[in-house]
Amino acid sequence: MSCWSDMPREHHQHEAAQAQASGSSPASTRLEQAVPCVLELRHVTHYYAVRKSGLWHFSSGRRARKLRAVDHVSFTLQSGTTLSVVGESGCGKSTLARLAAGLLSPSEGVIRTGGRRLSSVRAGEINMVFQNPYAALDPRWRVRRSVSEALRPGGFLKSRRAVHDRTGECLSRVGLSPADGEKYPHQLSGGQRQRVCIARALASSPRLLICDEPTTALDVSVQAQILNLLRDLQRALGLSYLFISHDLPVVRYMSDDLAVMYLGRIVEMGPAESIFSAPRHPYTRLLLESVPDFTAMTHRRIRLAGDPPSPLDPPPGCPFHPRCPIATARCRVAKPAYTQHEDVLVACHAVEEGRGGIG
Amino acid sequence: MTISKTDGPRQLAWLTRLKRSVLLSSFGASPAAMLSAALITLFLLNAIFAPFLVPQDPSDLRSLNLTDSLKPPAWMADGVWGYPLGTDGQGRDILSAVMYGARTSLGFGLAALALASLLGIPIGLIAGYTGGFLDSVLMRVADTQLTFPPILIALLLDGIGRAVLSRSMQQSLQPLWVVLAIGVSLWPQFARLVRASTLVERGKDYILAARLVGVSRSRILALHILPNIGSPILVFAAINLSFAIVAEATLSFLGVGLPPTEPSLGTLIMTGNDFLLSGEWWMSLFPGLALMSLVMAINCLADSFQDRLHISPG
Ligand SMILES: Nc1ncnc2c1ncn2[C@@H]1O[C@H](COP(=O)(O)OP(=O)(O)O)[C@@H](O)[C@H]1O
Ligand code: SF4
Ligand SMILES: [Mg+2]
Repeated sequence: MSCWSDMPREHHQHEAAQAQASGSSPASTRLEQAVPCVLELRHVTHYYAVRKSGLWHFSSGRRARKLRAVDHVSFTLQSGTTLSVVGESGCGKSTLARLAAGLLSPSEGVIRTGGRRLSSVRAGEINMVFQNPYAALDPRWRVRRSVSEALRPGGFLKSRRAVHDRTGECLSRVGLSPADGEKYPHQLSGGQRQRVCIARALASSPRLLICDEPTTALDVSVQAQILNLLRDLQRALGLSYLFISHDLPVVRYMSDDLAVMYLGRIVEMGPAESIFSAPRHPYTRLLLESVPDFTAMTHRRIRLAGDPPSPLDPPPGCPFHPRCPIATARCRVAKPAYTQHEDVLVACHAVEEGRGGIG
Repeated sequence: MTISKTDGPRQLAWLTRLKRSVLLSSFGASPAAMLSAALITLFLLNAIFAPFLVPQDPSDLRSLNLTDSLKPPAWMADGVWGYPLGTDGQGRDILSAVMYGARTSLGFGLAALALASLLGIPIGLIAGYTGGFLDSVLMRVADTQLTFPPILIALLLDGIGRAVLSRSMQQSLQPLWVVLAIGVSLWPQFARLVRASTLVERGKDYILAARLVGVSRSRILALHILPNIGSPILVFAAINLSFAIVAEATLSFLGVGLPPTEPSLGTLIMTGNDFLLSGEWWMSLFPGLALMSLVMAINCLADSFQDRLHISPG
């Protein structure tokens, strides 16, 4: 967690010094100067142009409105670790994933990988596992062909034989047989399809794998298998994961670092265990309390009521204030800056003022 | 989704896919669709085998017998079974003429359709996939053309052909020009449909996955998107085939289509039309019936495919 948004330089150095002193968290001990991180986002913002529709859209001249799906997000992902991003549906997680994968270009800010601009990255160096494995496979292609797609255009495997062998290797790495490769997606179960998608992602020899809710569309019984597979692969291949989910137990199982996102902004970020054991931001606390497994830790249950506001009309001040149980007048006007609490960064006035408790 | 038990040989998977395919599953749907399929098969067979089946070669002037001119259909008082549907003013067998004419109509319809797809499909793919400025330009052109009725475009192009080309050239090029006129008048519909389908398809995750590993735009369009939007395009092409056939018939009927030396059903209806008032109704009625059944069969079959696919006409 060495590069961080909205933070003055002093904070940054302070953090580094602190990290060196304590030497605890894997995320903060490795500094950006020493090892170029696998993924580095600096003040990344993404707008979608949203067409006004409705009865009068002719008269209003079809003016496009800007929807800020990702708002000044900064983080670094260190090699061989997993950074998870959690948040409710619609908070911008998939947009962030696509930005990091280079499928979208940020409206503002910079994304670098290994010190280079994302655009100069070899194709397939960053690869992705998608939420719905059915939509992620061409329904008319045998899955073997999908897996080997990465191997042809890049051209680093010349002979058909080599491509064939590599495809078989990738399939067996994810626990599929060569016979499975001859099937079409509709002939496979959800879990098998996701394995195929993982095999395809591995085929291009990526350094970074972006997993956008990889288990959300799967049966609960299969989820654990896929998560274990991802962890095994990380260990065996030294992969780095940007892991996106809204499922907190899953995130806890997977993450080294954790970023909690709300309405396009990261509201709390740090080593996952620090946040799970002592959540500070009211949104994080409410999220954790909404999961029965974690309720015991905080004793009380306050429901996270209602839906997040539309990112088309984000509330002024702290974006969380309409739902926050401890919002004050200050929260309604001023956007909270990030402050450091041990190894965790939090954007909240109450936490900054030292009145973190809810209720 | 369950795991299929047919893990076996490739052929099996291929067969299951074929069984699942829209085209086959719509057979056995409605009796009307079955009848249409049978009719279309008949027309196709006729198109291939007409030269071997016709009682008389209508283009061979030596086989014509002027004494047999203007015979009514066989079941009428003056009719003879040698000319089941009667003859025209030169003693030409109407059945043979209709068989050849249906073949010509179908052939020109298909050729015009091929041209429209050849223009419209790539334009729609590129516009839909690229988006942005190019998309706007291409679609504005298509929309502008769509504000004119296609038959007017065809007439206009025909007029241009007549004005620009010398008379002999124009006459020898006339069949080609008919294909061009109808094909050009139809491309925007194809482009619009293909663009709409491409827009849906390009956002799907498997396209993103291909982009991530550097698959080129043309490969994505040709290997992923085109095959996956194939079914709606096929149905749409079928609907437009009937339009192309009618358009050709209309042009021919108006005298700006195929020349009498290469008569289509439309040409036959036009020439027969002159005799309609003098009582020789069979000369235009039978080509008309053939045209009607061909077009209705195509429409009916296309409709039943369309119902399966739930697509709306562009
Ligand atoms: N292509 C798009 N055009 C316009 N708005 C979009 C588009 N994709 C996503 N959005 C909007 O951006 C916000 C974030 O979406 P997304 O990144 O998919 O969130 P998440 O993955 O967390 O559910 C949502 O409000 C969504 O409606
Ligand atoms: S800044 Fe205010 S409104 Fe926002 S989370 Fe903190 S206390 Fe709640
Ligand atoms: Mg999402």
